[in-house]
Amino acid sequence: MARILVAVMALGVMVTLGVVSAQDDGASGDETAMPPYTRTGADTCLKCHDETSEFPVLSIFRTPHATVGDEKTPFAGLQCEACHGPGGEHGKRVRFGQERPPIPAFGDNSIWSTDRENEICLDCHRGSERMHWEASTHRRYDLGCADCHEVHDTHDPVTVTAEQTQVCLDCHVEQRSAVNQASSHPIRAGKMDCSACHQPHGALTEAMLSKPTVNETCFGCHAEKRGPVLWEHAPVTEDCTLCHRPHGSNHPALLTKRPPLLCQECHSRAGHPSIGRTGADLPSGRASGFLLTGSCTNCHSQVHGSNHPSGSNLSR
Amino acid sequence: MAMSDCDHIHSRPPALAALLVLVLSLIPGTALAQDDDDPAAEDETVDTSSWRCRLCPFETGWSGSITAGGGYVSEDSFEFGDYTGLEEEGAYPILGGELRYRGENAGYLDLSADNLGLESRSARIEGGRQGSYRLYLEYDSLPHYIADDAQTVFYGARTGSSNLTLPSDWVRGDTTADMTTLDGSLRDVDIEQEREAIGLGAGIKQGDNWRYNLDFRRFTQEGNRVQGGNFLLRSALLVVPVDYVTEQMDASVGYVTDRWQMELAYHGSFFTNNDESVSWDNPYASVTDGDDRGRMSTPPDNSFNQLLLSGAWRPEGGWLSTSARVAYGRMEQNEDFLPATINPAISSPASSRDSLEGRVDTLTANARARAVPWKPLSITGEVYYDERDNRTPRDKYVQIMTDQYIADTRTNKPYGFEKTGASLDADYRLLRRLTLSAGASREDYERTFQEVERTRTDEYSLGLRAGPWANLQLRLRQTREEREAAGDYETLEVMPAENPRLRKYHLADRVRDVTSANLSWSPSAWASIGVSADYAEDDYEESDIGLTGATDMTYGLDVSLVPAEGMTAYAFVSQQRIESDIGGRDNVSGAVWSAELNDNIRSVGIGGEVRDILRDGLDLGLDLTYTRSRGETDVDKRGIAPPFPDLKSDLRSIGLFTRYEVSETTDLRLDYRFEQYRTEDFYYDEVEPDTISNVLTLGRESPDYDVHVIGLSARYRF
Repeated sequence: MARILVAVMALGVMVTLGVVSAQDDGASGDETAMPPYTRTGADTCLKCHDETSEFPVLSIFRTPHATVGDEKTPFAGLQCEACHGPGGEHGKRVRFGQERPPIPAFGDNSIWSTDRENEICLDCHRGSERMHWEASTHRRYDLGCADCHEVHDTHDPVTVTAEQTQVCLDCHVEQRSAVNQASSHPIRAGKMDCSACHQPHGALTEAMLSKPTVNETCFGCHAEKRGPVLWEHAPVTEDCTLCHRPHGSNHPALLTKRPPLLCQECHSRAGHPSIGRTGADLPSGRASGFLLTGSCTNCHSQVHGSNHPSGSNLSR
Repeated sequence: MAMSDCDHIHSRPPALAALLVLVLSLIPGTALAQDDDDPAAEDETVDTSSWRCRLCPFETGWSGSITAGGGYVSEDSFEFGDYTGLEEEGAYPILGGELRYRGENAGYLDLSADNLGLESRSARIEGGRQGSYRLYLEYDSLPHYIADDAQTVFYGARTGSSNLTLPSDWVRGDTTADMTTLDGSLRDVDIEQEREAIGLGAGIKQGDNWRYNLDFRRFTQEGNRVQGGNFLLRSALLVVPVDYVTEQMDASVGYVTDRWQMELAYHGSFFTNNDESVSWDNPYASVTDGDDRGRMSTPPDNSFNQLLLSGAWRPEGGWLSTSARVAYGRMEQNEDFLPATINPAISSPASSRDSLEGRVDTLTANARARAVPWKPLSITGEVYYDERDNRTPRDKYVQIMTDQYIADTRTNKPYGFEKTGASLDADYRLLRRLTLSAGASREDYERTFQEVERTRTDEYSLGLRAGPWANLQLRLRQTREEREAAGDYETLEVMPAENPRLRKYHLADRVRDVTSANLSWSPSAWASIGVSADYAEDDYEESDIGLTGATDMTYGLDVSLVPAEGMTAYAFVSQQRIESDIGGRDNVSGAVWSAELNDNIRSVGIGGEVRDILRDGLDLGLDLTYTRSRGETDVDKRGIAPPFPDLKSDLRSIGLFTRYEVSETTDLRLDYRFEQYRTEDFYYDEVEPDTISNVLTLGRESPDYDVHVIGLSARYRF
């Protein structure tokens, strides 16, 4: 399978290089000259962009970006053009049949780059959450603030717990099957969002986690597993994802697989831990407690560690 | 792979590098505080004297909405109601709303509430002055319904007691079949938990630069869970109480400028368990004197305190951006030990300590820099350090095995590790729409008390991002990761003996190849299509006992359409196939066996929404989804073993809503939802409480349900 994918990728690379070379005009939108500002600011824009237009914008006046009394809000400064850039060219009269020049930023066919658009947002929104944006994975893949946020609406889905996941899954298709699996965090129920664990604006950790490590992220809600305890289970202290799939699993408790095979990946001591369980251990056969219900955890139930003086085998 | 002395990870170079970046952040701070690259400077040249904003409908005063109504659930089902609170057949209230206030001086107040009539209720109030300060108070409840078909013989299970006792007429047996009063003693018990969270906090912005934040959260988790309690090789599944409280505090102070910023933060987390142990009667016939009861520990109270220092520096011109974070934390636990046994026939051995005095110091440091030495090239470098310095004292503990007999004396192993890594990635924009990428990374991982003292992982990647046409974006990436032990794999000396051929999968030599491809295409302004495929293959080339190989393949197709104004539609297909190969051998030298596990999960969905259908103000929406999961378990042992049935789950869901705007202030909404869930799980199905001779189970079955939910609500806006 890997060879097929690699072959397809190699073919894709060659085709892409050819087409891109043919299509490339060498121009960059950011190199164009700065257009002039409008003469009357937002009043110029709102003559066209009312609620009956193709691009209605009036809902922005119900958002923090148009709050009366806040001197930092765009409407206390350059109004619409604080974010969209100078609209003098876009707002001028055009002859019949002439195409209207695009607004520089945050519009259809805008000429400014994603980086430059993002800088507009970051001019004001440069708090701790966005401290690590510049070298983040999302930034590296040219993601723009407006790709996720709807700033013209009071209801920005990516900021609503019950709706954020759908925004993320538009790109993270590989997680869509995970959140629909039999065992999952309360994501499908709308009670947990991706940003409960991840920091989409950039983090220095793997998978853009909000906390410094995977385990610290998990302990945020599962502090009972933090310890330290007397008898530790080595993988638990290292990385929860050695045994759990946080985005969803076909097995209970988000486990990567079921015991006993999960445990037998690391335990093969003489005696019952090493025995390969088969269909003969089902209720139709000898109904083995080493396989059924909790399997190993029927006895070794303290898999996250035990603080009992006699709990070295994780059963007390 | 050989390692030189200079590779020794005690040198902590990434930690120093992270600190260096932080220090660098401070040095330019004074110089750059008077930043002359402020875009506002450019704005000052704009003549805004005639910008009146006469047409701007700024919002001030009160506004909001109230939603009220009722619904009906057609069937009891814990599985359906898990996390949503719709677990019971019958009527339920629909109640929620929001209230907003916007003042002339940027003062604001937001109040929102959802699902007020359900266990999944939540509410939040936030107020303050925009740009200056904010205060908030929030509440959230999360019901977790686990099983409604469990049965137990223990008294106390239904009342949340940590003292579980058997009926007075209980007949103890060598096996569950010998427990002759079992059937008459079984009582229904629901397995469920409720997690409630209350949070409050404040944030202040002082001037252009200073930021202060203080947040406090208190979680309570109450209910019960299933836990095995054993006496040697005979066990009973117990319903044990859950009564946890976790309090968290976060405080930070930050200084922000256009070119650099710093933040000092504190994180505290304090866990309290209101049950120190669980005790239960032994339902089996006595094997040793005094083994009538057992007692096990519960998660002990613990705390975590952490200081975090973060910084970022972005020199003028955008040619360099750096950021770093150093976090130092301490986990502590010192709960009084339980006695080694509660068996009165065994004198509890003398212990050198009454509590663990457990302490783990954690240090993580990360630093990342992105440089653009010339325009087509960007380079991202990263170093990191992660240490778990376990300072828990080691001692000998005599083991009283399952409250029945004195076994050996064991010494605890306070596990620790140090992880050091660095990576370098380069993106080269060959053409305006074509970027080539290459990267390399190295990680050294040193562990204590484990079979391998040190592993080294090297990773190399190549990638491509291209937009052959403006409406098509393509991303390809190929990665190879190689992990090798820096020394011999030394099997731990334990009794009974471990198979010397075993290689634990997180320590074993491994080669991982990952291929990923993503395509995003917008054939027109009203359609977008996303396709992705990811394939990962793990080869544990030196392992023949334990995990020997694994693959994970995921692909997906996502289509979004806006075929007409007021109309949206979507469709998706995603599939994941996870395969694992495990090798084993009975009793080290006995029968060889191999296991192959395949999990196949497929999700498909289609839906859409139409506004102003048939008449103005009438909206209609539809969502259809189907998720099919299959788990295949194939164990080959001497070629004669009967096969396992597949693990199956099928979830079909229909969601339909219609909304009608009765007036400018009022609309009605009718929701209908149907879910059908079918599961087969051989681990639980057909396992009655006495099916297994040495495990007294709860008789749970895998869940099935067909649930219809209908809801009618009105929303009034003001």
